[in-house]
Amino acid sequence: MTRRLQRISCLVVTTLLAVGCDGGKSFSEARKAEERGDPHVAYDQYCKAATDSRGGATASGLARVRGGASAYWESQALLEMDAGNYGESWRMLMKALEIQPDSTTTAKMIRQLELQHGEAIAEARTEWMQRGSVALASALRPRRRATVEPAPIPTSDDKQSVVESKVALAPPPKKESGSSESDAGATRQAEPVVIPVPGGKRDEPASTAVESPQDTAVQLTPAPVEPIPEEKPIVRPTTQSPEREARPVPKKPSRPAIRREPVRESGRSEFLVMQSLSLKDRSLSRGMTGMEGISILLKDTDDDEADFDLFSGKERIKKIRDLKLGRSQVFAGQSGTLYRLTLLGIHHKSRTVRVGIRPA
Amino acid sequence: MRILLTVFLFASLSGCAESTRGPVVFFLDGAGWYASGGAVENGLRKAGYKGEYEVFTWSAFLGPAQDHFITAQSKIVARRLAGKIERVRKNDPDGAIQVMGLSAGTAVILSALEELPDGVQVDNVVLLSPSASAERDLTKIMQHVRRNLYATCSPHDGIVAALAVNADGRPGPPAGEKGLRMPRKGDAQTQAAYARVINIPWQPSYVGFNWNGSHTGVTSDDFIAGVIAPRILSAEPFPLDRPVLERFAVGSER
Repeated sequence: MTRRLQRISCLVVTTLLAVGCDGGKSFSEARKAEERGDPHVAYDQYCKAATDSRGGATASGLARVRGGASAYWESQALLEMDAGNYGESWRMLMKALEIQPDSTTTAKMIRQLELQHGEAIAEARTEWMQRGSVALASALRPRRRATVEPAPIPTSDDKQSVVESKVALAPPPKKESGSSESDAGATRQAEPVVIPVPGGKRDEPASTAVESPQDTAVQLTPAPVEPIPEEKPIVRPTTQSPEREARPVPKKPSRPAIRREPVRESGRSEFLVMQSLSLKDRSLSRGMTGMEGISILLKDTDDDEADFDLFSGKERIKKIRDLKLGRSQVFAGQSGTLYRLTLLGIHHKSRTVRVGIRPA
Repeated sequence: MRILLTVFLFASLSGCAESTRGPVVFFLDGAGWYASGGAVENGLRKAGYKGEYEVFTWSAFLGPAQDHFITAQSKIVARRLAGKIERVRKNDPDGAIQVMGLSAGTAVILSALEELPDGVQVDNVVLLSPSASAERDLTKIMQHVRRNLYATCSPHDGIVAALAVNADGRPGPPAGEKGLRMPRKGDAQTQAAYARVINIPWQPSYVGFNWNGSHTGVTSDDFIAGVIAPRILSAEPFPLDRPVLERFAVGSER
């Protein structure tokens, strides 16, 4: 009898542990994803955890990552839209809205998509009606990032001209902890989605900003950037004689590869300045003078992130560490005006990055 | 003279009470539960609602059983609410009127809508954890609803799951358990009506809006602000709305 009781208790405990572990596992996965800055993954894991445990920790976790997860799916939807995949784009926008139902901008985008591409999304809509929202949410996968033109960065191998990174609109970072985005006319910020440069690795999309403990500045996604038309390659007529060409070319001192951004017809400005910096390529400068006497020095690069130091004169005013590709940091000029430094591209092999600055 | 004065005074008072113009929200609490009105109002305000908000008291204050089994089915209570809606509509033919209710309060709302005279409509109806029957025919009721009727439901709602009798006294499972259902033999009018009836089933993500699926948790201000308000405060159709009719048509809900 005692043995039987023991067996039953053992079974009950095991079952309880298994059930507990399942929810606990999802929760810890969610926490990990949140810590590494993947709010969309964290959100899905928190949702899984919420099926077992509908308690406070899961609730606050969901509220924390909701904004970032919704922003992520919106940015994915915009990529799909750029590629003409309206059905997939619709699905992703619906997912974003499901995560953040009070996002008026997402709802507007969906309505617009339905209005303009009703036929293209008809199948997705029918499927959604049949499967229901939960099935939809788990069925989605992030989009590949190969639809946008690559953004070559001038390297020692390719020093011709600086070709702009093509960027796609992405959503603003949404307010955390359940705050609602209810301004219909709220300015839409954007995240430049930069395609991996050769040698670079960028599988994971930009996600919710996490404040670096050593910085006081908050990482932000940058303001809207319109896709820049591709430049025609500059073909210079070769008028030099063969002898002259054979002559050794004196090495030029490091020069900043500055490109002034064209102002669009609408008059809305984009980056005030864009520049390539390199630690290895001697034809490129390592630092640049940013806005209002603030200089920016490249410290280190990685596959998908870079470190910078900001100086006002000789005084270092800020360290920017692990700035991810496509993400921004805000800094103040000497007058107090805020500017946004965006990492537009990385070529880690040549330790070269491309950055842009614009008003925050 | 005294009688005239009294009549004048009453007329003025009642006139003042119903002279509101602009959006109005009526909220009806559950049986023997008088605490949700504040949270619902907070949620709506949080979402930017600036109109009138009125808690319509229908309880007999004799406990939840009395409210659920008797008062919620009272035609007198239903007519009182219908009269109120009618007066507000008369004062402001174009103003938005939203009617929201919790649990047994939803049965009062449905009966009141049935009592409304032809041509009098509210804008949206929100039934939170409704303890009215899921199989109630809403065809006539929907004639008094300009836009949509929403009903939340949850498999974790222990109260509706334990109900022996629905608050409206009609047969069938409570709508708060698995949502409203369209009658199988619905004609074109019924189908048109149910094209505007939308269930909002609980899902794990709602835990983030502080609705863990419980019966009264649905009135959490976060849930009202984040999930309900975007549906009723905007004039535009809400993309996530899936009418009962469409779901019925594809055979996924029943």
